[in-house]
Amino acid sequence: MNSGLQASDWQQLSALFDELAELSAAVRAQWLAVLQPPELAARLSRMLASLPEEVDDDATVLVDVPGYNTRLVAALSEPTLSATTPPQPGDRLGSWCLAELLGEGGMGQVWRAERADGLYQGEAAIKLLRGDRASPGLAARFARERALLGRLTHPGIARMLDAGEQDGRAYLVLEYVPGRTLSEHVRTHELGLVERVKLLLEVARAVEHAHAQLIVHRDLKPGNVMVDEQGKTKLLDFGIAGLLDDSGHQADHQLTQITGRRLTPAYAAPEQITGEAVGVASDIYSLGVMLYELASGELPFGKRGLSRTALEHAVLHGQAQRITRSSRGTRTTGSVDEGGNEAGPGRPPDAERAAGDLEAVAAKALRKNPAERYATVGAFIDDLEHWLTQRPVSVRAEDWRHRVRLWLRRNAALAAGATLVFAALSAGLAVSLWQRREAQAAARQSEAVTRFLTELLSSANPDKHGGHIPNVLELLNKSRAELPTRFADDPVTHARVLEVMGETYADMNRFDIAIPLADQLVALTRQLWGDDAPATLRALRLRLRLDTSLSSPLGVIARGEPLLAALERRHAELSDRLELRYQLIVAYAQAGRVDDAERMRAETWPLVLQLFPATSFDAQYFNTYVYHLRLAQGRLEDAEKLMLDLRPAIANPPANRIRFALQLRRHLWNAQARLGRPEATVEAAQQIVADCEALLGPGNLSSQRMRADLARQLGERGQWSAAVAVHEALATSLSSADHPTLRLPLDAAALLARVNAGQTQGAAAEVQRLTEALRPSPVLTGPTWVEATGNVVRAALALQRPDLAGMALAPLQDNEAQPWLQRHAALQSLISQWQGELARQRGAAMASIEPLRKRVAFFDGLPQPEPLPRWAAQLDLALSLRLAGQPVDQALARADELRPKWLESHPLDRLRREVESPSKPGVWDGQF
Amino acid sequence: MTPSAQQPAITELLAGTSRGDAASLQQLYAVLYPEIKRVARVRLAQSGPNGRVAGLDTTALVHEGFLRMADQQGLQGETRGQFFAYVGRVLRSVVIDHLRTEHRDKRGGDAILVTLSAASDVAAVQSQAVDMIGLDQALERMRALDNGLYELIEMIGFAGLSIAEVATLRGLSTRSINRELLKARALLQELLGDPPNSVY
Repeated sequence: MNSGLQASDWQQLSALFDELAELSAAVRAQWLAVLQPPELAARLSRMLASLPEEVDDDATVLVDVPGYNTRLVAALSEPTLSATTPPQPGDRLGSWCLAELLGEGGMGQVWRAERADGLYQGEAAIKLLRGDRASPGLAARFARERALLGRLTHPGIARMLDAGEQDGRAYLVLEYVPGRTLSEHVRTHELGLVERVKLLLEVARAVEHAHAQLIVHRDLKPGNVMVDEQGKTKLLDFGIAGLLDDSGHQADHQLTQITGRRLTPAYAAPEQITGEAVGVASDIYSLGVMLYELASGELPFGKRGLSRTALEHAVLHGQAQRITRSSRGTRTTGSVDEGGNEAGPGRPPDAERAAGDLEAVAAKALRKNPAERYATVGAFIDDLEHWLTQRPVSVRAEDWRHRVRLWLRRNAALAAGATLVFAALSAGLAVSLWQRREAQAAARQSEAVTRFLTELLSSANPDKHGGHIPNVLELLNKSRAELPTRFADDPVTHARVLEVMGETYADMNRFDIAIPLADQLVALTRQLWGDDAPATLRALRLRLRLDTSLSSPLGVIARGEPLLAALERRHAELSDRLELRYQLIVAYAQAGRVDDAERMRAETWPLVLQLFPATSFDAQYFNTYVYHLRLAQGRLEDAEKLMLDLRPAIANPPANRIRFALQLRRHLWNAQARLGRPEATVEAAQQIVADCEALLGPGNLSSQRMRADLARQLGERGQWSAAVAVHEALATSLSSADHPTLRLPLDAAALLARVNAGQTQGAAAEVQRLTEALRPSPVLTGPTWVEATGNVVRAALALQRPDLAGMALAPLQDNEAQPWLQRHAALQSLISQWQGELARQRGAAMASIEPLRKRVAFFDGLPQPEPLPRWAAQLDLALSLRLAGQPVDQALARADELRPKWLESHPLDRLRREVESPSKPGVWDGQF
Repeated sequence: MTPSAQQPAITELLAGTSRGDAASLQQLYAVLYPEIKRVARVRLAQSGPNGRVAGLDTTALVHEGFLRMADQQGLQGETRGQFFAYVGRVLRSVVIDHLRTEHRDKRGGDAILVTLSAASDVAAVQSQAVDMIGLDQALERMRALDNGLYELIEMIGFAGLSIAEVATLRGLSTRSINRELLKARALLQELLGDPPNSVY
């Protein structure tokens, strides 16, 4: 056998070729004749023979592969996966590659698939719908429903990752869940009743989540519940039945037509079988069947193994046996029934514990009439939890607390400091807010709390309040005072009431009240249940939520760090921990602890990727947190770039993402405004405000912040009158129910704008008021407080009242009281600048130079400093040099270098001229 | 997939492949394959009925589709060359895959002629008729022997680049490229001529 060309040969050959190619044919021949070994010479000879006679260096050598092009066309025109050829392992669908066939059903095949692009390790389950079953409108329906189902992100639900149609075949890409079905798992591990109920609770919570998104499962059964290696349940096939349904109604026979496989009648609700309207009640029914089966090992109606017709009849007309009485314990293993469904979970060893309450829960879910079942999955869950814990449980937010909050919020707006409609309260509230069913449910589960709040609300009798109709706040305030004594013997209820009230006040933006309540709650839960108990963690998160709402990074850090540690200890859901980590990244950044923020960012990003694909919205949204970090690091262009990179992701956001898209726009505008980009116009900012208000209602926090940002930018550009106008619009939009303390920062910024715009009437008094009011408090701390105080200092300086400015500045210089401030380089540089201006105003121009230099040095130390304030700081320094009789040429030259090219005109340009001119410059303090 | 998400992958993978990292190679292929195919298909669709009949003008493909891709990835110089060599390789494998599904991939079936011709006034040198698989194998061998020459053939023969474009890419004159190409052609011819069961 010939041996082919070896690498070593080639080296020699290549070199010889190059040499001999240069030579004339005759000389070549001579060489070839003597070359050894002969095989080499032969090759060389052949190769050289391929060269053209005359090497025309300008001719173009062609490589032609005839037929290649036509074949390429043919290959590209073929569909990868045709509707007629059977799918094979290795076939590609979008970015997935089929790996192994998992099963085949009436609907089509289910394959396990892997990512074809190697971007990340991922598996999915792909349902290939049979080509012949696909109706014409299927693809269109897929597209509509895909967005809907794609929103179902819940740890207990196998997500639908993608859906589409390729080459005439519709497919669904679902999260792949290795593990066992629920019945298998229960049977294999021989779980007792309590464990089974806990599993079902997980399932129910997933269903509840989907219901909240208006998605009904319609095919709940143990076969659709996978339990993974960690023992967590995941619901499969969510909404698939809904996807395939033509109309709002679902009739069994229709489904047969479409899917070729009927619903399992054993778990189907009566109305599903008869073809009437199907809704959340049908899912609740199915959950009831599963509960019954888990508790007893048997189906409530009929038996496994009966014919379809017999089963249907049993469901429609049968009566369920009491769980504890059923003694058909033998029929629990082995046989697979007619529908191909597996055998059941088997009877639990402690089935008798199901007597009474648990039976009743199942019975209520299994009522033939949908209207008589639990109205919501939440209520079902409550009862199960009640049974599990054997004591009153705090009622679930969605059901009750949420309603109270909503109601109170609606009516607090009406109240607006005036009276509240108590006819509504006493008469309407009891009825509309608490429907009989809920009242009973609430009462059963949490009698003490219910009683308390019922009394509270019915105590609105004017006679009890000195003859006037009290508003909600007054009511709550009054009862709040009673809490400690009222519940002295019942700390558990006390805790629950504190939680409700804390959340209520938070919703009303009365953080001044919510915070002490939340603090009490944290202390109480710690005392009752310890640091790591669920209730304590909930309390900490409430408190943390308040910190975030108030933009109080110090609080977020102080509470967030131990909370995160606790969550990690308890191996809480990754998504919960992530939420907290995001907040900490931003909090560290805002507190000036950039190293900690960077560390947290680096730790968190891989965790994000564990949960979300790198290209998903959630993963990309992570960059908003990094944005805050970059700002804090003085990397302005990098921050801008992050937001720009995110733009495609938010180009056409789905409804549930619009809020985030607006955030991104706001951040981008901020970055671009600071960089002087032409896109960051006033109009653009106003548009963002308008869009926020359209989405979230007038006066919401986001549009407030956007307005404040716009005003700040206008101030930096010296357009103080325009800033004043924005502040006025901002003030009008605020709800007067907001606590006065929250308005202080806005008042301070507005004051500065007014003073610099020349509206000085009453300003001095306002400065004093604000100085007094701006004492650090739980409601107003950290950088927000510093910025607000700084605005007051500047306003005082602009008014040429160094006495007032000094008083306002004093708290910022109290190092002991604000230890965190020492580490905040950016804020320290600002304080330095204010100190400098104050000294200058007091006549000590020489002394003012050093602090002003510090501010300049701060900018010099940043990788991508903000251009405008930097230039302003330089001019500030130049002014002091001038007044101190020092040479200013260098400083002015530097200022000219620093002046942003994109800046049109700015009041500080006049300062620059004044510094250079022989006559004494004017007063510019407070304008930098 | 957004460009920014793709970017690290491709350039890193290209670097890995140049180091001879097998895993990078595999991954690169997997990353590019669907993308290139998609681009090619789009171009085909855009070329209208004429395109299908006359055969895809791979040159046009390069210009519009892959150039953009290369620019998006920020590919320069060596990696740009590697990229285009890959394009050629992928397109060729698209053809082979297709032949496979039509069961026309058997050795000896549907022979394809590889004509390494020169300018019109120079006699064409025709290789032995060899099927696509054989060609693929020969090219594979070539890559192992001399990557530079291999890339040339891929780029010019299968990815549709012009001599001028390759010259720019490699920072050489068209003359140099021409000469290299002559050598590459000669080598390929040798490899094609080697018996199929040769031991390498």
